[in-house]
Amino acid sequence: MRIALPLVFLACAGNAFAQEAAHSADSTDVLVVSVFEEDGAFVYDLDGGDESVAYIYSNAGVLVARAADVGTAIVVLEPADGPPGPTTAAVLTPDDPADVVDHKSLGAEAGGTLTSDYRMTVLVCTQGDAQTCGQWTAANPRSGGQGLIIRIVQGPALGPGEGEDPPVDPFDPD
Amino acid sequence: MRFFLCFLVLGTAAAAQPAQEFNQRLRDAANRSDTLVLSIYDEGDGRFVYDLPGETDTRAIVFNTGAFIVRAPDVGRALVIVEPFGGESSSVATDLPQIHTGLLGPNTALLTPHAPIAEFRLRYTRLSEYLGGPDAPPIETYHRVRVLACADGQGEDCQTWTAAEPRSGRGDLYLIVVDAP
Repeated sequence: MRIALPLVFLACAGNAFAQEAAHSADSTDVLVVSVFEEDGAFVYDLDGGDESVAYIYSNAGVLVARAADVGTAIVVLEPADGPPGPTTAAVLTPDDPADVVDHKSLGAEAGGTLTSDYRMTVLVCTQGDAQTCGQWTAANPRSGGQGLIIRIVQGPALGPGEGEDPPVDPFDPD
Repeated sequence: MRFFLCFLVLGTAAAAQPAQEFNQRLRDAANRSDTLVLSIYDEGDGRFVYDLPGETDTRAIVFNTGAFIVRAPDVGRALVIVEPFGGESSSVATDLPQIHTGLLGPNTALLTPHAPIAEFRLRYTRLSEYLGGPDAPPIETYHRVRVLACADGQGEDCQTWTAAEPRSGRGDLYLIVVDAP
């Protein structure tokens, strides 16, 4: 009995993580955040969802931001709590309205942080163009929540696909 | 023969000119130390400005062994983004992944009242060695520095951001990362 209880607890915790991972898998490995203009206001959401938390695999997932009908936008990921940490951003322009938000730069590599929460901030240019923009306004999540949290979870160990070579860092070939 | 020699000397001098300019810039950068500091200020009249200490230049040179530090001592929240930009080696800078363009790690820093200083570290490995071998000439990569400051508060719910302007008023700041000698 003394042993069984911790095992049950561990099983529940593992189940919760498995659900998170399953949720992430169901939403595919590519998470898309879209930015829109609505009645003079700027909003963003996950395609087809209004969740306040979105999951992404650290080693397999990709976060893509796109601004279909917004001129220029900046999508920022910053640590949601705890001490200040690395931040990363993608700049979207009319000529290049979709980009990958590089969560690998946050240190969320495979085998690294198990779970990290990052707050997403979406800024839209309201005065000027991509080169000269002087004023930016924060877009709100369509769901009206307090903002979208991107939860980066460590995914299953993935190797290169069959017949593919593993990527090589030219600066560190070993 | 005299005419040929004159032509040869003139041609050599013309070719040496860009190299001399580049070497001078390298010396200037060396004198400036390996660390560049960009400071952001609130001018109190609704304007946000930034500058390099004692400098009004809109192009800053930093070695790939150095660091680029930004600080906002009297600004609540500020966002600094360093993005690849065209330049003398624009095809090199834009064709390579971010990690190979001189920056090591994230290309963005969010400054807050609790963390008003951030550092961009630069890649140690010589980029030219990767691209052209040990004898290749130094390579420069250009980056544009965007500075946005929160204009309506200091909290996480900041709604309005204003682009800070260089104090010299001469356009945006460009960071030129050169291979270390």
